[in-house]
Amino acid sequence: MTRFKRPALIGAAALACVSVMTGCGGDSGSGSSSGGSKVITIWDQEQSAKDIAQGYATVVKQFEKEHPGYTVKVETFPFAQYRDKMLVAMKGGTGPDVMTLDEVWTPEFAAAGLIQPLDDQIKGSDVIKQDDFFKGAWESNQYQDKTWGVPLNFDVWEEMYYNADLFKAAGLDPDKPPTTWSEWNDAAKKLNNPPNSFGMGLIGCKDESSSVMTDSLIFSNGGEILDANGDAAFDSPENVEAYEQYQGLLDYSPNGSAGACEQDVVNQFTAGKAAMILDGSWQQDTMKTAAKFDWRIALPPAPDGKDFVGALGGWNLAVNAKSDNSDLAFQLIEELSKPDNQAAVNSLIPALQSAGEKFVNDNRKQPEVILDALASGRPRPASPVYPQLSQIQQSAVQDIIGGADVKSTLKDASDQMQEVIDSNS
Amino acid sequence: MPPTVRNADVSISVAERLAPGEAPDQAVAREKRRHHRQTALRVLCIVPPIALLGALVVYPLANAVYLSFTKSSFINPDPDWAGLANYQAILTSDTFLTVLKNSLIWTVAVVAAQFVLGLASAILLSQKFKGRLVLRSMVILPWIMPGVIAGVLWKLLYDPYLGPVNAVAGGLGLVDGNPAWLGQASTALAAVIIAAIWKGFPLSTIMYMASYQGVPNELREAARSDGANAWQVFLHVTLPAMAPTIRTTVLLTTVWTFNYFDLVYVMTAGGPGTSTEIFPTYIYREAFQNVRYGVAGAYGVISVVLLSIFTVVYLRQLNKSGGLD
Repeated sequence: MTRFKRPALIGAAALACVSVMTGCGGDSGSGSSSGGSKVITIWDQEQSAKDIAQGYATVVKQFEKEHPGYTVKVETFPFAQYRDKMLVAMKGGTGPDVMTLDEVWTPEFAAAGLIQPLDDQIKGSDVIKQDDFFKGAWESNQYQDKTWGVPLNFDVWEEMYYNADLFKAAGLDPDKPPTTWSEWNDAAKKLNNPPNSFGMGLIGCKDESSSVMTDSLIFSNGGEILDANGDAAFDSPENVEAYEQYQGLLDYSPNGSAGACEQDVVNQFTAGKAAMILDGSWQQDTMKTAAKFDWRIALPPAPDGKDFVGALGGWNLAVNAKSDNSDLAFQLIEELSKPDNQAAVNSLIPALQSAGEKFVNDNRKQPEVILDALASGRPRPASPVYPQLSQIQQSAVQDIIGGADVKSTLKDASDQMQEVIDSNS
Repeated sequence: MPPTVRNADVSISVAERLAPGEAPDQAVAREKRRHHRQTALRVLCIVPPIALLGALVVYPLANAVYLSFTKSSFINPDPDWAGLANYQAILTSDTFLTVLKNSLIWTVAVVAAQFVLGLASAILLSQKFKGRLVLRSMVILPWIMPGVIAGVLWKLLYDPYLGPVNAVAGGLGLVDGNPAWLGQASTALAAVIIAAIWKGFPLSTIMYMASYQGVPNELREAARSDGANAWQVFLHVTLPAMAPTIRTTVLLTTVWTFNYFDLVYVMTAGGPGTSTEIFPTYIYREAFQNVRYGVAGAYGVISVVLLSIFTVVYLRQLNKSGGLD
């Protein structure tokens, strides 16, 4: 019967393939897909300065003790892959029960019906009280008069990091960093000494950081992305001025801003190549180890006669609309919203005011600057098509870096934004 | 039972192999059972590969084609039938022309350079010299390196101030200042092309090295004794003998390069603007960032059609001309 051997082998191989495939499929699924599961899954992004697994382990242990028979599975992913993974899993119906969502994704997930409103549960909760959270963080969960999540962490774009040694070398007073846009331009010019060092490192690559960083320029100048009706208002005179300010600073920045993402610009700063950069407080962990000079932070400069307004960012905890353990999922969120626990799972600023202020005071240099910037912040537009609007904004930033006329670039971008808004309403 | 024609065929062979004490009719029945069993076996053998092909190739492809005729978004995920609207929008958009142009330049430049570089290095590495084994193993390094790592590496090489590219080019007096090769629309595509050539040429080297060494030396000897010079030997003896390998390798590298995603994504993400946006990166952008599966599907279908046309024309042309003989 030797002739049976080969087909038998093929059959076995085919069977093995199939079982491997279903094995993978089954594994990547989670509690939400199988009825009456005893496993609660939570997804979070990996954070820079801290072993989040350690923080979660304590919370999970506590939760499992209080809910016998249930286990909590924590899965973390690098930020770069997080959204893709989440999209595919949620679309395929195998997403986690609880997930952290970037503020700017929350309305999108809500509009798509992927997460559930939590108003009733919050109303009945002893732990989660709106007033305990930073106002801006809480607002990022509001979409169409419902509350879609509970803030986990919170921060603002941005502070201005500056190299005090280079300030001194350029004859500038490091205790008096620029506070207005015209002072900023002067300082950048004086600090500019190419190719050894540059006045300003500017983010401009094709990702969200280019949007949110330039948002702070727009907001400070009184501009906005969408008006009160939700229509595109990207080509306002205020925004044109803001991007002209950005374009002007490019004269004092290293070549290649169109390819410079957040980390590239941080590297320029820590290498002593850029005397000033705009970035958030989370970069202090990197600065503490990588910047071998007297670095400081300040509230970024504002247009002459105006106050700096930052652009808020942060992450919310949301519950999968298809979770069959939504009550337990919310209880897990409650557990994570106790001040100590929230601090334990964060290397960003906890969204609870008490925990957040304690975190900043304990972990950050010049905490008063960070708290000022936080208080100033405004959320980015709460639009279900925000990621697409942001991509249009990023393209506009790249064109502006390439030397395009700011006014006509913003006009084109604003028209494109309106098109996206119209085709999705 | 009157034997049918088919059974008659069987019975001829059976007649010679009758079991002891077995009537011919019994033997025919036995053979028929065996025949059925064999047919069943054949069907059984063919089912797993067909099922696998169906699940892994036909279904996704059909689904992509279907999606390309629909419109959906993240917040309205149920696909609505849109007919040819996606194709109409794409074919009249500037972005499509840019993506098409970039993809063509990218593919042609990378494949051509990999062919030349692969062939040259294969011939050099086939010569006998000291340290050839070490060199042969080293030349494969770019190929085995993950694309993401290679992308990050080249990003560092191209860094305007800290990267060795500008240091060397500046030292030789070839460039002025510190150009950001990846950061300006005029040079970004060329910069990623160079990185892609480096990343992929070792495969061509390996293929051509094996093929080159497979050309019998007697052939070359014969040509030489007929008075051919080295170049003529290469052109008329070595190259034609390598033709089948070259054909396959160029076809493979073309398809791979056209579909190559990692490097561009890591180095420029398609920017600045759309200056390095090629089909795979743009499809990714539409599908996973804009969540417009319809548009992404249409781009996917167009790229499959383009590659299929290329493959068919390429193979037919080669068959007609007898390859490189």
